[in-house]
Amino acid sequence: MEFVNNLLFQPTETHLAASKHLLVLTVFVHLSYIGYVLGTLLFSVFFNIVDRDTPSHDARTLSEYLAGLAASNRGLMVYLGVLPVIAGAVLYAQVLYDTRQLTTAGFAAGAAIVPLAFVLLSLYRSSFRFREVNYPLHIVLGAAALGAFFTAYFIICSGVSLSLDPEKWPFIRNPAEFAVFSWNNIARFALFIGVSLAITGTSVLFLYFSPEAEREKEESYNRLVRNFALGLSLGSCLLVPVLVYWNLITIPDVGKSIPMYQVTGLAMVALAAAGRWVYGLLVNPDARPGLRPLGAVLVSFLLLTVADSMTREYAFRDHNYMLLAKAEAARLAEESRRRAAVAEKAGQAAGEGDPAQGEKLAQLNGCVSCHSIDGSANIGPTWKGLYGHEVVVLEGGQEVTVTADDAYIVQSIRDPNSQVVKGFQAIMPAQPTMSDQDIAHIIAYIKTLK
Amino acid sequence: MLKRLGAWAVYAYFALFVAIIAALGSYWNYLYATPEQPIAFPHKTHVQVVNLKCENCHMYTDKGQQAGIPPVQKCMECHQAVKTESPEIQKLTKYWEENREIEWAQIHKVPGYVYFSHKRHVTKGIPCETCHGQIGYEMVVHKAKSLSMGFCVTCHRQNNASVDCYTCHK
Repeated sequence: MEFVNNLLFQPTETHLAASKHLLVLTVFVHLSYIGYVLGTLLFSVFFNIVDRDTPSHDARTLSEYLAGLAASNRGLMVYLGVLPVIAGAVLYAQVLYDTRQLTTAGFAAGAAIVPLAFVLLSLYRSSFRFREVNYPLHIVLGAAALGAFFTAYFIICSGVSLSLDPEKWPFIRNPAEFAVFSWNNIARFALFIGVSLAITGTSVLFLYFSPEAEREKEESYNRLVRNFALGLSLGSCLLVPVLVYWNLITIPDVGKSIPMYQVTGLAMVALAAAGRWVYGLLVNPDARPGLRPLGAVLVSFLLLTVADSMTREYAFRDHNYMLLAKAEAARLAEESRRRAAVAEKAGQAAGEGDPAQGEKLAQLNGCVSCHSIDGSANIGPTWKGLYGHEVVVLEGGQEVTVTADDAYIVQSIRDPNSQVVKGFQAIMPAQPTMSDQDIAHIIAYIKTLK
Repeated sequence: MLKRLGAWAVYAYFALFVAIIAALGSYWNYLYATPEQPIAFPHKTHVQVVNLKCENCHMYTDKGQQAGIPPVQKCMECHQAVKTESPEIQKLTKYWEENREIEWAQIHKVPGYVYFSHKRHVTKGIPCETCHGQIGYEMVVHKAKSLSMGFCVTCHRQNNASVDCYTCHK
């Protein structure tokens, strides 16, 4: 999968921050929509089978209504259902730059399955026309769509879960092994299903009972929809905290942080509001469900997504340090190359130093913190009057007298401990980031310190 | 009345979970959170800017079981003159003048029943980062790897090192 890196940006702090926020947004919008599709499809198939078992007009109507909700709009399917999976793959590839890309592979597998699932869903919905003629084909289409969604999101959730646990990476070589590596991918998937059910229940409440919606005339059907949606909403609102707890105890320690716990706690508060509103609707049959329960569930899910993003940030911390350091090194190399190019254009041959530049570099690289310029004793020998004079150095334990010329200073900067001035300790670090031109500037500066 | 009670039951249920999450968080904070250090020592500055190598300060990495926390004297070799205006260095100087050792909080800990020798690993060419993460890029050290038995055994298997119990549990 290394070729993926060639298609991406070399990450910098800005890229990583942008990817992080875009991921939160993409995952939240996409999974909210998929949760809604998954839940409505699940219960459409459920009521479809219930009707086959004990025929009832209400169950059949509800089944068709839910299938209609799931496959309501082709544009939504493309923009909220399919494209974000591809975006997720790219964003994860960016965040996981230069490592094993199995999470991206999970998203890519998802991106292949999800369009198929949406096609099956559309077919299932339109096959209500011949439901009575060919029931097996009709129900198989629904079940296949459901299976495709479950498979795709199990793989995606497992990939996300895997990304949080770098110590497990050596063991998992392909997406087929995702399912067995830890409890966290099971817990994460269960939490996703739990949230999906909460979103589905509250969405049905909002959509079916909104003032503009067309409702069936029959009172028994309205009661069924209301009781189904309320039961589903309240049940899943009560279930989600248990799954959140399960997820919390299974995420790897490297991903944990106090802010993550705080945001998860806030998500539970938002969910409590949803639960309270749904309960209020349950005990007051005349109350009209509004947008509030759905809104509270979505806020709760957004907070859970943010908490998840924090988990990822902590789990990736080690990896990010390395990426940022590489990016910084690349930036410095580029800058030094540019400086050299500018100097060359100005007709200044490499090797001819500029004392003013040298003074700046000596300050910038911390040289002057050890080497005084006024002759006073310090951690390193003074630079005052150094150039052209003789110095007694220890080289491999032998005392040698050398003249401090260009070559001596270059060697002292490149490999400081090969010759150490007598009376001083071998503690100066080598300076690999300094270019030859930088050293020329510093030599020019030392020359001026007579 | 009963309705009111039900609403309180719903609140109580969620409050219970908020409490559980708070308890999990404080338990984690108590046991695993990165402790505060007496001096804000930045590894990043020393490794990335000054270009020091790990073994320049941790002198016994290839010589003994312990890598060695550098003595205050080691810090003072440079910091007698370098960056003396920084309040953190002034803290360091105070330790030096009072002739006290700095009580660094230990981040990478293995239990007492685990025998671990730095020398064994370093002389075999295992980089420091394998266990300590990208410590040279960190302003504040944190525990990057679990250092659990599974972590050790995985690496031992990959490098054909012994996984006999007695290797680590002496």
